[in-house]
Amino acid sequence: MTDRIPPREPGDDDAVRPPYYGVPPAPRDASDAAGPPLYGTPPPYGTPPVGGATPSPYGTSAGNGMPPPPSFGGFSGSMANPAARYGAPPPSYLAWAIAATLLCCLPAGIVSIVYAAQVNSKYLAGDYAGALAASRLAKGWAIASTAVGALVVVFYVVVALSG
Amino acid sequence: MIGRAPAARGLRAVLPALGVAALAVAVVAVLAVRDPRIAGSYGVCPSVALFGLACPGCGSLRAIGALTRGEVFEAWAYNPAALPALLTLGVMWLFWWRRLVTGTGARFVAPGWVLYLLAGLIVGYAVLRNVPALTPLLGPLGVP
Repeated sequence: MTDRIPPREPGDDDAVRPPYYGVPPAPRDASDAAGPPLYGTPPPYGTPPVGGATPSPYGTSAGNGMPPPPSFGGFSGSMANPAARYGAPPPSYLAWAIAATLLCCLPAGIVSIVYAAQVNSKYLAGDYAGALAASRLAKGWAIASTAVGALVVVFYVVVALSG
Repeated sequence: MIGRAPAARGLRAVLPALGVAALAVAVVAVLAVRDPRIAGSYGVCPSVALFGLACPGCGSLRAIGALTRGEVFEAWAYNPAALPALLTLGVMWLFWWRRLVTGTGARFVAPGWVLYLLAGLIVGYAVLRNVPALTPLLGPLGVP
């Protein structure tokens, strides 16, 4: 859990130009790959691959000897899932938010859940850039709630140890 | 579902999920050794200490501690929300693991209104827990 990819900047391709079906993006320089995202998943469809290990779109081999993931084309034909049109859904960090809210009890966790809801609703509405923005906010609030929870734990340990 | 990650993705792809699992195991181990149901063993939730109110998470520690000893009904009494939340998180972890191993995105996206409803339910739960008539049902302040 130590290696992180650099956070996506607003100027990234996927933020300004929602990739559409039929526009396979050229993979960026594989040497700038820093590894898989810490949380969430590498968007496999139409978004710029973040790492050399990321499968390239449409199941073409990226030259890493990995077979294409079996789920491509396996979206069960449902119009409810626009993955085939807009790329993979941005991570909503919902599990993180639930854990923060119900196990650590933090109001920030509620905010995080609300942003997770925004991620999914905007994604399903076709607003990919908006979903990405909400995803970043959800992540930020999840991190904040975790940090506050960790501070409380540290405070309690210090109090317990000091008497 | 749980298996070796493809060599192309490597162990690093699943490290986050392994880290979360290790953290969960560590917490369970600590709670199994040091029973949180003994008063003061882990202090009091800040919301109780500061405001005297039960938050949605109050009792979760004791509930997990009860679960480590197989006492499901007692866990329910401490925090009825903890059990469904833990089950949900476990299932989400399995899906997360599969996404990391296969390198694919989420194939199921919950509609936004479901998550808004979830947030509303949690807020409502926080309120109802502190209604004196409901406290014995929703715990944990009603639990002696």
